Parts: sequence; structure tokens; C-alpha cells
Amino acid sequence: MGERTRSTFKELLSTGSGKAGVIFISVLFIISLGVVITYPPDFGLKYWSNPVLWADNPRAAPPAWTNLFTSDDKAETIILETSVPSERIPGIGTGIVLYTFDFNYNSDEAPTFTSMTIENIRYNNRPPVLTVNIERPDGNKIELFKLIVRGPLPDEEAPFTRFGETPFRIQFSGDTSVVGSVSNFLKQKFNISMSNQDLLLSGVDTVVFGIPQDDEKFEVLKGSYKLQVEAFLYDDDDSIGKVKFVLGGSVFGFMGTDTLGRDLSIGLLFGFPVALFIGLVASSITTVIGTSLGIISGYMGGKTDTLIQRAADIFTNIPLLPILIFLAFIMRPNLLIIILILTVFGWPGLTILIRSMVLQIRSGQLVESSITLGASRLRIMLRHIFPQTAPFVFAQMIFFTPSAILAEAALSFLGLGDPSLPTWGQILEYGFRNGGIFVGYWWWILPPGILIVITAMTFVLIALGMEPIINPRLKRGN
Amino acid sequence: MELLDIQNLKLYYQSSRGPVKAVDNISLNLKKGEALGIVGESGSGKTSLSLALMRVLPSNIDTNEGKVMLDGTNITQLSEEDFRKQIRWNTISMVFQGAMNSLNPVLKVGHQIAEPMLLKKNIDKKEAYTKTENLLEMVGLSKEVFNRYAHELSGGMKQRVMIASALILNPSLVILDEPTSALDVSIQAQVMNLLKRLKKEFDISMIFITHDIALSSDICDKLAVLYAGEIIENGTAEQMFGKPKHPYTQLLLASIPGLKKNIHPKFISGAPPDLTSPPSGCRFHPRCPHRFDPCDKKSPPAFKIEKDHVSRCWLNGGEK
Amino acid sequence: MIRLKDVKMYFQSRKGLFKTVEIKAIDGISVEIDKGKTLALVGESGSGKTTLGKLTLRLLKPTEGRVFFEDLDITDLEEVYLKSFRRRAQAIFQDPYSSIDPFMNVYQIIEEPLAIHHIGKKDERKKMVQKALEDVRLTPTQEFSKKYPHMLSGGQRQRVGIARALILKPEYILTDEPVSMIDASSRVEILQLMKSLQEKYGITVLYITHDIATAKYFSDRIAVMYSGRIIEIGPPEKIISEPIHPYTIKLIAAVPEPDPSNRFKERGVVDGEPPNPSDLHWGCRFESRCNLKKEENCKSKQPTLVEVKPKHYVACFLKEKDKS
Repeated sequence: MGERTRSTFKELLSTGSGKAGVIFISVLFIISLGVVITYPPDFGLKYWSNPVLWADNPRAAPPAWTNLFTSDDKAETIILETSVPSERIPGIGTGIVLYTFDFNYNSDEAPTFTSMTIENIRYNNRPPVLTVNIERPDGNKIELFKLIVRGPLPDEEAPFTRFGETPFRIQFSGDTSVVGSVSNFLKQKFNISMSNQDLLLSGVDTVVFGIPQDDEKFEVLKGSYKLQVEAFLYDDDDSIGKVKFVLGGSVFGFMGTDTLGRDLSIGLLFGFPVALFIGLVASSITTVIGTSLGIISGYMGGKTDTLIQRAADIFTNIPLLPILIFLAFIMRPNLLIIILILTVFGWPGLTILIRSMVLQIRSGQLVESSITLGASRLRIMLRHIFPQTAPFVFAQMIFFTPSAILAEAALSFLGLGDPSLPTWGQILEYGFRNGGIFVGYWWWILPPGILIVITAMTFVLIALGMEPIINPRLKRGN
Repeated sequence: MELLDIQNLKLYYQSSRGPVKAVDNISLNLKKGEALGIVGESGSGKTSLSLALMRVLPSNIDTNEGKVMLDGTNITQLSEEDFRKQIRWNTISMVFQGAMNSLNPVLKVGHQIAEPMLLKKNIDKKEAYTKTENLLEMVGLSKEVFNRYAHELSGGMKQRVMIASALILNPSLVILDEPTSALDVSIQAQVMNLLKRLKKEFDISMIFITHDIALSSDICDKLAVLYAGEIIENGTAEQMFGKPKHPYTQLLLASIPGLKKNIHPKFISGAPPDLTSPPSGCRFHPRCPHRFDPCDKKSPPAFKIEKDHVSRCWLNGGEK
Repeated sequence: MIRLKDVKMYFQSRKGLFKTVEIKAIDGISVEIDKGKTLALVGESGSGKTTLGKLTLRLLKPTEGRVFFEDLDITDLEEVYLKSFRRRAQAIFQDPYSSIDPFMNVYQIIEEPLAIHHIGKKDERKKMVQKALEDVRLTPTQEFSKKYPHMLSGGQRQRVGIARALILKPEYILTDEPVSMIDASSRVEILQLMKSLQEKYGITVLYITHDIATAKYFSDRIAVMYSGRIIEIGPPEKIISEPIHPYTIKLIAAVPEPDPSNRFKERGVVDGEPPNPSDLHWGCRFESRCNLKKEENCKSKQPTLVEVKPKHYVACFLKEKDKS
């Protein structure tokens, strides 16, 4: 048996398409394996459907590497965080803790948003007060925001914790007090009045990080900035867990983000094992059922044949779409149900085809000669009839795999898929739904499609490479 | 004058292992009203010869040379259009091997026979159909077979239909490729009787291709034996059956189990050669019981035994 | 060794949506094949000879009558019990292209019967297969063992079929038109091979063919079938040189001999076609094509086999009177 597998493998690798197919599918498997190992099992619910986790990502941002190809320097996302204060200034009765971030800003455009996240504040008596300000390269300092932590509630006991489970997050670009501060800054330093609405429209960050021009536009002020959080802590063991600033870029990550800000590279990677799983499982089960029933039906004839064929007829004639819509209505579809549906509606086609192949084989003298030798029915079906259908069956299985993947993508597209899991189909669907084509979110629409194509192609290459092994007639003679 | 004169006909196919020399320098001739038999095993090139004459060739041809004179005209030089209009089916027609299976199952048999007439000559339908019915009677079928479908006819009846179909335009030459190989012996005898009758009454010339040398004696005036793409012996029927000179012909005759006489059949060992790399020298030498020195080195030319009788064997001439 | 008693085989075939017709493939045959001998069954298409062969191997169950293999009545046995019978009775089929599995190599094809009947261990089997290949002269055996059917000629494939049939050392072999799909020049070789193996191992053979000339040289007795019945049976030389039944006479006259004077005369042939087995009349099946002067029984009753000469039987009302 080992000898057989080794020689099979050698034959597979001997053809160009076989080699390519093996390489591709190894890559697919390695990636899938990596994903299965590193991703948490409840990835779908906990991460992909959890808005909090990607709050700090830019929305609908192209991949970071596109910045290399554009003439202007796009804003890249800058993340500044620390758990350790930069300085402690002892004071009268109170202490001031400073969290200082120095950074250089050199893009040709202002950040798309600025956000601050504070985690885990503990205090014993009086709640801390935090002030956020930013010092620009031109020397101007803006006080952006003041946070007064909530005092103790009647039934609380010291020490008091705030923002432990749910961190405090504020997006400056959308906060009214920040807008007010910035508006004041504009009037004082540059003598420009802008209403709050106008400020919101043009974006607070363009002002904070920019210099006003004559035409009421702002040009980015490049240089070194200092973001600082001044925290007044009234007790020595009052503490702040983590301070984080995110300056949103207009490009992000390896594959960009969708309109919810989700990192597409994470989602697309997840699609690898899911696609392989759906494809291989659905097509294996369908093929096994379809082939067995086809061979039994064709060989046994009589009532068995009639029964199986009528069952196949019934299933082929059931309209798939209304059933799916109905099912989607009464229960939330998950991956296994989708595979079940693909299987249940996939087997009849194969059965009918295999049956006619079997009938043809029976008309030759092979079956007769096998009966004469004393072979049992099972032996004839397995050893003589099945191998003659095997090339076809195998090709069907290999071609059904991408079909299954596409079917799932189509179902997702129609909104009948499993929305908690980021399959390639789901990502595509979300992209289309958000007008990806019209607005031009190419990094969102193209990759899932390309990945589906590559996966399908892989299986085709393998099928081509496997041909001479399955069908000895294609083997070379002497 | 000869009706048909084939000179140095060559037909090689392309293949991945080199050219397949199916028809290799064949020269034959045939007079009007004569039947020429071409006898060969499968793989000898006999079907290729007939296809070359009808110019019904597949696309993978490597070489196609030679001259074919029909009634004084060089038909190899005709353009495809001219050949189609003037020669194919009007002058030369063919009954293919397994032709009974090439009848269209959804058309009436009579319409299929009449079709070439309707396409090539400007006769009206009624006249064409009457002629077809007469032809059906001539081949021993009743007129009402015209309205039957192929699956309603037996093997023998279908073969008669194919013969009628080949005769519809009154050709001077009919090529028959294994016309009776799928038929029972008694039906075969009926069909051979029919062919004999047609040949006599209408003076039709025939080329009768078969693997059964005994059968060829039923109708052939001349006989040519084909081996590995070459004619290794040809002559009149009396010469070939009476005093065959080539060892292969002799062995072929000896391999027939004698029904009336008590001749225990002998067999020819080995198998026909691969036409991409035929044996050196005489192509039959590996299987020949009489081979001697020159046989594997030089290919024997056609030695003249007597008038009309030639044999390509070193035993018949040249060095001994 | 093999005995059939009053066997009838009728098939039901659907004609149109509601009608079924009965096809009388075999209509009353009793015949025996002696141990170690070859019976040739000669007939044209539609005579029922292939059906009769299948009955001797119980590939079909007779509608009426009984089939015996030595003393064993195999007529009604279930497939489970037939397995041991199958070890002793084998077949060589007509089509060398479809009767061997194209997906198995020569070794596996010939080894299969051993595997089915659980005979021998791996190295014993190897030896048996090798011997079988040598018996059918497919040497060098190592080389041929590895080949697949599509790499072999028709004659070679048929030898593989023969080797496969022989490996169980059966007592009876059915050969149904074993050489009709092989080149004319290779036929004699295969038939001679089969005959020598039969003599070597003492096998009983039923040789079904439409070629009566080969029957003369490769059988001990010839039976001529017409339209589901045996109409003449006797020693080969007698059947061929002195045929009695009018059909046999015409059949023999139809066989071409290599004689250049053939082309000047037409053969005396039987007119018309064999009768349609779904639409048979009463009386002698050959009557409609018979050119002899009829007597009253010909149209109303079926003639049975009568011994007209020593060991030479004929089923004909007119000829049975010519007893010698």
C-alpha cells in the first residue's frame, strides 16, 4: 500500500499541472493550518462581530502599502500607548502624573480621526481629573479635552475602579467640547471664526494638525508634536492602567479595512480554512452519497433502482431558493446547515450520471465475466464498476469543491449565509452591499474574488495532474 | 483501357512516434466490369487505401502522393470542389465498413438513399423517389422498405440498403470495405449473390476489401494482398488461388480451415508490424518461415511471375 | 458432464407502453456434453446459442426444464450455493475488449479468481499466475504481468481471458465465439491453443460459434441450432460432408471456400430471414424457408431429434423417414 501511494505521488508530480496544483494546495493548507492554530475558536462571535475591537481602525481604508504608489504621503495610522507614566510631579497635596507622547507627523494629509482610550482608573478618595493637550511644532498648545472621572456612588467602597471592563474611549473628531476648544484656538491664534458645524464638516483634525491657508483650507503642519495627558491624582496609590492614542490614517494594514473598520487581512485569512472546509466536506459527502447510490441503482436495477431514481427526481425538482429563504427565516443558518443543504441538493445530479455509466458498463461483458468467476455483487460494484467510474467521480469531486465554495459565497451574497463568520463570500457580500463597486473599494472587493478563483484553479490543476493515475489508459505504454 | 490506374500511391499519417506508413507506394489497376480484391489483416492499411481513393482523409496527414487515373483523367490533380462534384459518389462510391450503423435513425431509409440524387442532380423529388424504389427492388428488397426506419431492418437488409445507396448515381466504380463482416454466413451468401448479379447485369467495377481471402474468391477477378502498407503479391484469381508465390499469401490460404477438404489449418505466428517502424528489408521477414539472407536487408522489388502476376519476394527473383 | 433437459427460455420484453411480448429464445432443448469432450454449438444470430451457453453456467435461470452439472441440479440454486459450482465451471467470452477489466493489470486479472475463492497465499498465487501465463504463451511472464489491457492486442487480451478461465482448473469451460473479434490470421492460433489446453487438462468444452469450419477441427460433436431448437447433431465430419437437415445443407453451402470459380456461379442460399422469436408460428420453425416438399406435420407440429444414422440425429419430419 505504501508503495502504491509513493508511486501515485511521483506520477502526480511528474506533470506540470500536478506540480503546480500540489504547490498551491500545500500553500492553502499551510495557511489554513496556521489560521486554525492561531485564531481563537469563537473568532466569529467574539472578534468579527464585536465592534469594540476595531473602533480604532480607519473606516474603508485601503492597504498601507498603497502609500508607496501614491504621489502624496497618505496618513498612516499612528498608535501611541503606554501603561507607565512618563513623569510624576509631586505637588502640594496632589500629584500630577504626566503621560507624554512625542511623535513626528509627516504625512501630506491630516489624520482621519484622533481617539483616546483610557483603561482602568483606580482611586481611593477623590476621583482624578485628566486634561489632554497637544503641543504643535509651531509652538501652539491646544487644550483638547478635560475628563472628570465620576465620583463614588453611594453603595461603592474604596478603592473605586472606573473603566476596568469597558475602557473609556473618546473620538475627538466627534466630541462637542473638543470642537469648542478647537474653535476657540482658531479664533485666538489665527483670528478665524468657524462655526461648530463647519468645523465638524472639515474635520477637527485638519485644524489641530494644520495651518489655515488663504482659501479657507488647511495645510498639514509637519513636524514634531507632543500629546500629553495631565492627570491629577489625589492619593499616592491612585493609578491609571493604560493610556492610548490613535491617530487614524487613511491607509491601514495589509489588506485594508471595510466600512466598519474591520481589518480585512484577518477576515480573509479566516476564509482559507473555512473555504477548504466547506468545499472539501460538501463535495466529499455529496460525491460519496451520489456515487454509491448511482452504482447501486444502476447495478441492482428493479425496485431499488426505481426508488433511488424517483428520490433523485424529487430532490432535483425541489426549488432550492424558496427553501433556503424559508430556512433562513425560521433559523439562523450556520456553516454546518449550509453544508447539509449543499449536500442534500447536490447528490441527485451525480447519481443520475453515474447510473447511466453503470448501465453502459453492464452492457459490456465485464459484469458477466465477473459473475462467472464467482464474484459477489459487492465485489463487482466495488472492484469492477467503481474504478471505471472513478475518473469521472474524482473529477466531479474536485470540480464540486470550488462549486461548493461558490455556492456558499452565493448564499452569503443573498444574505442567506452565516453572518457571524467572515467567509470570502460574506466579505464580498458586505462589500457589495456597501456600494464597494461604485465607490471603488477595490481592496475589499477584489481579494475575496481572486482568492476564490485561485482556490478553484488549484483544484482544477490537481484534477489534471491526477488524470493518468486514475485512468490507466492514459498511462504511457512500454 | 484501364478504368482505374493507381500509380505509386502513398499515404502517411502523422503520429507522435513518427509517420505511420499506412499506404506505401501502391500501384494497382482495374478494367471496366472487373472486381479487384484487396486482402489484408487489420492494420495492413486497406481502409486507408480506400479513403485515399475517395479523398476522404483525416486532418493528420503527413504525406499524400501518387497518381490515380480514372478513365484517362488524373483525378489526384482535381481540386476538392471538382472532385466532390464530378467524382465522389457519381463516379466512385463506397460502402464503408460497418456502414449499417451509419444510417440516420430518425430519417426514413428511402430518403437517405435518395439524398445524393436530390443534391447533385436537378431532378424533382418524385422522380428521385421512384428511382430509389426501383433500386431497392434491384437489391432484393421490397419497394415499401423505402418508408422504413433503420431500426426496423435486419442486418442483411441494412447492408442491402447501403449497397443501394452506393449505386444511386450509377457510379462506374464501387469500393466495398468489408461489406459482409458483420453478417451471418447465410446472409453473407445472399449479399454476395446480389453483388455478383449487379456486377454482371450493370457491368460495375468493384474494389472489394476484406480480411477473408476465401470470401474474395466469391467475386474477385483479380486479387492483391496487402501487408503492412505494401502490395506483396497480386494477380488474377486463378493465379493467386492456384499458384500463389509469396509466403504470406500461401500462409493466408493455408490458415483457412478447409470445410470440404480435410486441411488442418496452419497459423501464422507473430503479429502485423507497427506501421511507424516497419521491419527492415522485406516487411514480412520476421514471420516468414522461408526467410534467408537478403530478406532483412533489402526490400524486394515486384518480380514478374507471368503476365498480370507479380510477387515481392526474394524467393521469386533477384539474388538467391 | 453437462445435461440440459427440456429447457425453455422465454424473455418478457416491453413493446410500447402496455404490451409485453414473449421472446422464445430457447424453445425446448435437451442435450448432453460428455466429460472431457467438446461440443460445438453452431448457429446464426437469433438462433439462441448464446442463451443456451449462459444457461449451462446458470447466468440465466431457465423458464422451464432442468440444468445438471454432473449430478448437481443447478436449475434453482441460490447464488450463495452457486459459488462452489462457479469454481468448477468457467467461461471465455467473445469480446476481449470488455470482458477483462481495463483498470486492472494482467496479473490482477488472472489472480482475481484465486482471490474470490480464497485460494493460496501470496507466493503460491504468484506461481499459479505465472504458470497460467506460460500456458497461454504470454511470455516473458514478468513483462506481461505488469501490462494493462489497452497495451495488448486483441489476441493477447483473449489469451489473458483464457488464462483467467484456466487458473481455477475448472472441469467445464464455456467458450462463446472466442475468436470472432480477433484478426482472421490469429484465430487459428488461439483455437489451437485452446484445444491443446483442453486436451492437457481434460476439460469439457461448449464451443459456441457461427463459423462451422472451425467447428470441424476443434470439436468432437457438432450441434446445429435454428430459432431456439437444435435441428441436427452428430459427428463433425458427418455433419459437414453429409448434412441431412435442409437448413444445415444450405448453411454449409454458404461457407466460402477459396476457389476462383466461385465468382461464376451463385450459391444456393436460403431465402429470407430467420423467424422473429417473439412471433413464432406453430410447427417446424424452418418451414417457411424450406424448399422441400412439405408433409402435413410440418405446419402443425415441431419435429424432435431422431437418430437417423449412428450418432447422427435430425429434427425433420421429412428426413427422419430416411433412417438407415
